[in-house]
Amino acid sequence: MTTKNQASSPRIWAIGGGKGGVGKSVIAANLAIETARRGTTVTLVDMDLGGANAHTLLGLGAPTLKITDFVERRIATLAETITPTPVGGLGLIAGAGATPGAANTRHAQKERLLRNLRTLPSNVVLLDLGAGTAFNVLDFFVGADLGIVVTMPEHTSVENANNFLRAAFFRRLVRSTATRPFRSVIRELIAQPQNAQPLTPRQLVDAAAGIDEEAPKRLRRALEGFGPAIVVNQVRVPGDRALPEQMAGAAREYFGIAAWAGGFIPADRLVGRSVRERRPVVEAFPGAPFSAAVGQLADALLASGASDA
Amino acid sequence: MPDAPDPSDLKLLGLRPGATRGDLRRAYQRARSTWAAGSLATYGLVEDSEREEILARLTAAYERLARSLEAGPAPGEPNSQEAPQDARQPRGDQVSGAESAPSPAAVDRPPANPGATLRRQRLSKGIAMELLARETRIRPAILEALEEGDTARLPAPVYIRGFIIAYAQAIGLDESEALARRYLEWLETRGA
Ligand SMILES: Nc1ncnc2c1ncn2[C@@H]1O[C@H](COP(=O)(O)OP(=O)(O)OP(=O)(O)O)[C@@H](O)[C@H]1O
Ligand SMILES: [Mg+2]
Repeated sequence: MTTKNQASSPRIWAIGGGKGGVGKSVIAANLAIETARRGTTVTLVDMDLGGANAHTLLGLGAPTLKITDFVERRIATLAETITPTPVGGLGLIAGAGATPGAANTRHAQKERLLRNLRTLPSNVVLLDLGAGTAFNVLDFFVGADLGIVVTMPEHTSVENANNFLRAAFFRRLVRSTATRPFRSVIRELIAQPQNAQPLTPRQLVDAAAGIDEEAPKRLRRALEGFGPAIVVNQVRVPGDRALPEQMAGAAREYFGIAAWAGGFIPADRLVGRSVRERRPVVEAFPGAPFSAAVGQLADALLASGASDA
Repeated sequence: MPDAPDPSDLKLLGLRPGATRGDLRRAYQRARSTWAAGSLATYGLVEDSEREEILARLTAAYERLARSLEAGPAPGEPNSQEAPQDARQPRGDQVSGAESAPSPAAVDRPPANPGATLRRQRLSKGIAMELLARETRIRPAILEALEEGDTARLPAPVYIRGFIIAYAQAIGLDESEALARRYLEWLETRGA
């Protein structure tokens, strides 16, 4: 195993996925521990600015410093808001709880936060983004080095995850097509009148090519390095184990992005129990199926970074 | 000799150059289940027409790749596929054009080959040629000739009606009798 030099900037992993309650936070907290156990230092950042709970999932009391202390400029650097944890190599930046308005970070604040996340003194920075497809969530997702989409094997959840991927795909294009005229064209193409058919990726490329013949190449470049991992949580029947591969394949074939299967995590009643007992699953029940699956996920995510670093 | 595997076909199915037949089969099985009607994985992603178009593209790519891998120097596998030599002729522009663009390219030939419709329907349901051959017990060479309307490779018209009906039923089309009639009428206009 290679432990990364602390001086280089951390690799940012972002967990999102559209639907609430699919297990993003439980996975984030336990994944952070499993990753730290593998000799990689981790900062878990609770970015669910409307409903923070990472500290509870890690079994910690209410932290004195929170991410909002940095966002609202009471603290100068983000690194100062890190709360130590009993897990070696793992630090936490706690979320704000249900502070009114906290979920609506302004643009300048968002960019400042993104910049500062890159300066944190760990190998990996793991963001728990919370639910939804607001620009707040999307910008951190597409700005990360690795996005992790969590879903459950049911129609509502998969629909949300696919919509999340679509929104992230378009957001990535807008954010990375830097030149002004082109960017406004992309914006215009994406801006849809209410209840119109959403634009398909193919239509977008065709339409953009009509405006600028270089466009398809630029769109492709904008999407390079955008390869989210698909994780299906709370799998109960063997038939649903194929879902991560299928969803990743669909995203590759539909959006042309390098999506890949991060794997599946079984439904495990020990998860609910450890949440109630306020102990991380991987610590309370290291032999639980959930813990084994999260360990494998940590391996897969670390390997993905090793191959493209 | 068929061509080497087309890189864009490989890319479409997420395969690297040097992929084996086993890789190809697994990749296509995954793609087929992903884009099948009622698939959970693509729920909320596409409209049905778009789903069928994607499935057709993937199936066509699979068939082209299967053909080039099958003819390649595969270790230990006798080249036992029932396709005779003449089935290996380079395909006409009409067919490959219709594959890459969903709208048929050849509009200058007035009476459209009903076999092309069969092919489009087959691909959009993700039914690869080998599967159809197994279902209908008709040799792939004949099925291909039916789709291409290649009179030189087709049997006498009296046998064709049954072939078309079997084909249409195997891919789940209701109007198999009518299709067979149209097909034979079309063959007559071609002087077969
Ligand atoms: N693999 C699992 N097996 C059993 N229960 C699980 C599993 N994963 C998550 N849960 C249960 O689902 C509940 C919701 O999980 P979690 O809070 O992590 O969801 P979330 O996606 O972060 O939600 P939100 O979008 O509201 O932030 C947890 O309390 C936990 O009990
Ligand atoms: Mg959460």
